[in-house]
Amino acid sequence: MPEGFNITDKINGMVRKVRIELSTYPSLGDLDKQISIIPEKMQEPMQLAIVGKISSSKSTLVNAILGEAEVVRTGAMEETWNVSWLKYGDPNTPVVVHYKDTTKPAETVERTRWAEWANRKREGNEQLKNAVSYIEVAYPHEILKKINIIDTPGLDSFYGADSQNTLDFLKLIKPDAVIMLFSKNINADTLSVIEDFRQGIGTGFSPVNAIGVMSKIDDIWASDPDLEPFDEGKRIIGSLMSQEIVKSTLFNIYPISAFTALAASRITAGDMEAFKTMSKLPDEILLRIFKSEKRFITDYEDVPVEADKRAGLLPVYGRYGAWLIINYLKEKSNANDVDLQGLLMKKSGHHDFMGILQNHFGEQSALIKVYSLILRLSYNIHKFNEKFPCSAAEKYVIGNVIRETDELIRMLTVLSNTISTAKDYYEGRLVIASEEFDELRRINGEFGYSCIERTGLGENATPHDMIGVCMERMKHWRGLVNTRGKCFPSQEPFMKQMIGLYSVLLEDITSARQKWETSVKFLFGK
Amino acid sequence: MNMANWMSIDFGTSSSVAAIIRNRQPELATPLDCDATGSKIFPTVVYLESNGNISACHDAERMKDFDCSRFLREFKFDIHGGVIPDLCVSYTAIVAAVLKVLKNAAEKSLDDPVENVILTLPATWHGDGVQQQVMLAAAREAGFKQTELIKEAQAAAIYYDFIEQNAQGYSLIYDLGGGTFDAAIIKHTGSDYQLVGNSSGLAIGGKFFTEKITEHYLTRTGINIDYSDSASLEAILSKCEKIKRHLSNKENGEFPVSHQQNYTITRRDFESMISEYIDKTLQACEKLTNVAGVKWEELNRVLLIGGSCNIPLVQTKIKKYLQSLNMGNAHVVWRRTESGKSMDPQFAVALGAAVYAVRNFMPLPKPPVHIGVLKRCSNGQIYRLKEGVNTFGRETTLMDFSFPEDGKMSSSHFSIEVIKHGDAYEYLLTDLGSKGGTVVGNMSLTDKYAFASQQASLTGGEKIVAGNTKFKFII
Repeated sequence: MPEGFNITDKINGMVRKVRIELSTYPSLGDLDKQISIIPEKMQEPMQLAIVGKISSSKSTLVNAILGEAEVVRTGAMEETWNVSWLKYGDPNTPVVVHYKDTTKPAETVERTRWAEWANRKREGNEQLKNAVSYIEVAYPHEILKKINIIDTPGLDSFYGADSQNTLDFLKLIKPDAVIMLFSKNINADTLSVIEDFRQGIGTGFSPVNAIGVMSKIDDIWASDPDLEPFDEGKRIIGSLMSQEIVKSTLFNIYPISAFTALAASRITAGDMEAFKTMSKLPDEILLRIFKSEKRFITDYEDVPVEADKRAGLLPVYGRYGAWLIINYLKEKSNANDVDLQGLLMKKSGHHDFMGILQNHFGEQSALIKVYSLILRLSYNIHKFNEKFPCSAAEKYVIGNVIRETDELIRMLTVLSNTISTAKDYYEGRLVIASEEFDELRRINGEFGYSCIERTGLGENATPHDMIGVCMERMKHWRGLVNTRGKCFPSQEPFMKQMIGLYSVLLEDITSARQKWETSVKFLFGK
Repeated sequence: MNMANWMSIDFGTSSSVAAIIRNRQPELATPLDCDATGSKIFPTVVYLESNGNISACHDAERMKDFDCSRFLREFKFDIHGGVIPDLCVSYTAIVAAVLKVLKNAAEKSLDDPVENVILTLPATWHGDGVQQQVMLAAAREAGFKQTELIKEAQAAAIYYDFIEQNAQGYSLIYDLGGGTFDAAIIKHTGSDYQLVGNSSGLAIGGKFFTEKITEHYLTRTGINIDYSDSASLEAILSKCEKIKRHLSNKENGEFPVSHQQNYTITRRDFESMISEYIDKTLQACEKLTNVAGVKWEELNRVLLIGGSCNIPLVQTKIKKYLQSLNMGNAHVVWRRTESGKSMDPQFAVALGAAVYAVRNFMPLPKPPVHIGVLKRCSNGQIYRLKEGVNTFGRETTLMDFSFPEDGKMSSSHFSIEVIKHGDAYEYLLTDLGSKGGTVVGNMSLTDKYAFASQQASLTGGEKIVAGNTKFKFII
């Protein structure tokens, strides 16, 4: 979410304001100390667990999330070792091995000795391997400051012990979000994996925190270039999501091509030249060389880019990536590498997926982290106010602090209640129409976080239209509170919640519009 | 001088109650606009007319069907410092509209203007929280000059004490209302009612119990309700509320659905639907006693308030729970106090708040103050002082009070100046240069007196000796 409008920024804004007030009175230093720890607490990274079959392109997905190839070497240690936890840090930090037996101290192994250690353990003793709960590995990637990635071996009846280990671990750690990885071939087996997941984890996981990813949609294209891989992916997902078990387990399933997304970080000037040359070829020649992998690397007289060069493109972009780039360059021959990065991010599904990950799950995890902290803080401020004799000036400052925190808590409560409302719905305690629940999800930014998407308006809508929608929906829900809600009071909190969500959104739209109008005036004098 | 009138308001989630004070006794105010039942309940609802007017209570209820999106009910726990954006109205204005209706009703009942108010608030609301600020601002907007706040549970305890006279020890206030359950422990110490602890408020109450019956009714009868038809929703709701009330008095009930169909339900059916809820309230009480550090056996009584305590299962469960703790003899107070006096649980909070006003903000008018007198000890004769200087001596024309028979008294012996300060008087005795001096003291005459050479301030009870004459100063 853009700066200034996400939870973290709103909370930081409050903290800044309050601390300036408090700074004039050293006697209130105790309160200041309690408030000052909030921003720190929010900076703790979100925990993201990835669950998938070993054969699925899990490492590629991890690399794609991190935005860099070769962070996790495909087929390396992470597969063998039960669970690895990637955190931000110096790459020379020793690997920390945590055992299931919590009385046994964690073991640290120097990075340089890791391969040898892992090998020895692997060959030596199956039992020892099973004794490991997880390993902690540090990488110096910026994104790890925001998202910790917990890589698990996944759920598969073939790897019984690993599956159990994964489930136990997830129950213990309670990550902010869990990604289940699917291949494009969704079959009975897939459903049984979901079933396992749901059964094994119990009630702790639901669409509130579990998302699906269908990786390798580029394979769809490879098998039939006439198919638009996204549409095809969405079709498969659509039929999967219509099944009750999937709907009640996963937030949504996102089609992505992790491989194509990864290519975005690897575009070179030489490759760019080659693509530009190829984009000038007539369609029939292009269609011919893209027909198969073999043809793509074959020498043709009418193709000006040499076969060797083309062969070099394949492992980086794949045929799908190359096809996307060339077709884009046909339309826009002066495109630069930033344009192409954008293209790959968008067309790989990565953009949408990361948007949901950071804007929805990231916000949600920030909220969970600070909500209880801020409630406690508010309680302490009130107690402080009642217990300690304060001067009139100090009382005035505390009064302002209370107003600020109360206002923030009001917003956070609305958002936090959304999480419990969703849980109630998924677990059958709240019975409402699915369209009504979809409206909650939409306004909560689960189908796109821009205000235009959250109000469900078409692309030409103005802020004025959005405000109109909010007003109209608030009226609609208040009407329901007074009719259906009166007869079925257990639905009433949900209805009031809708009013609250529209009211928070309305405030955001209004303040954004104000900023916009001020900016226009400043920039253009009108 | 006329003293300002006080009233009290129990501002409830679904309904409110107002009490006035007549002859220092609390009394419920009657809504101006109530139905023929003479109910003392004001619904806590408002209707926001499109012209900006805010109608409250019965008036609002009548207007609701014009546009139910302009109608607000059960908003007490939604109160915040801002504005409701689509209706362009602040909670302060909304609450003020409700308070104004209650104020008008109180003034009509009392037939005299009411200036000041005691507002009762949930124990869960913090000292300087936004809700409290809104309530205070609303009271000002409603025209009250002075507003004092008290917690609902404290008010209930005060009322209990008022009825029972001199209650002692700890009371657990078990408040099961229309939509919320609150528990609080109050310590009675003399004239103080200290809030020892309170639960955080549970969404449990009458409306959820009715909902259970509604669900049962719809399943049993197979009626498919049209959720968008407000009239049929209202009809179902009022039917199921009647069923609920019926089951508080009868073991089972049969109700016609159509010509061919009846709906039957037993009290046992109903109890199994709500049993889990009641257990949760007891768990909350248990938790409260732990947190407050008060043991169950230290509790002197459980005060049941709120309409939903009328459900027999509530009382049964509480009594059973107490028996399980070997406390079968503990008092569960419902409609009757420990000594059998009647107490209406629905109005205890409002009436208790009115008692609180009487005890704390309405001092008894002081009886008119008379100016003190001197009593002559030998024959009991009274000498009434007047405001200003009163002179005493042997001389007979100039002295206010003369004693020619006392040869030892000087002709002008002493004076007492009476100075008025508001309602009180100050008495200043001055010796007027007498030969023998004036003796002032409050010891017995045989004791040795303290000598007042020039001046002494009198407060009543002193003995005064001048010459051979002895007086007692009496106020």
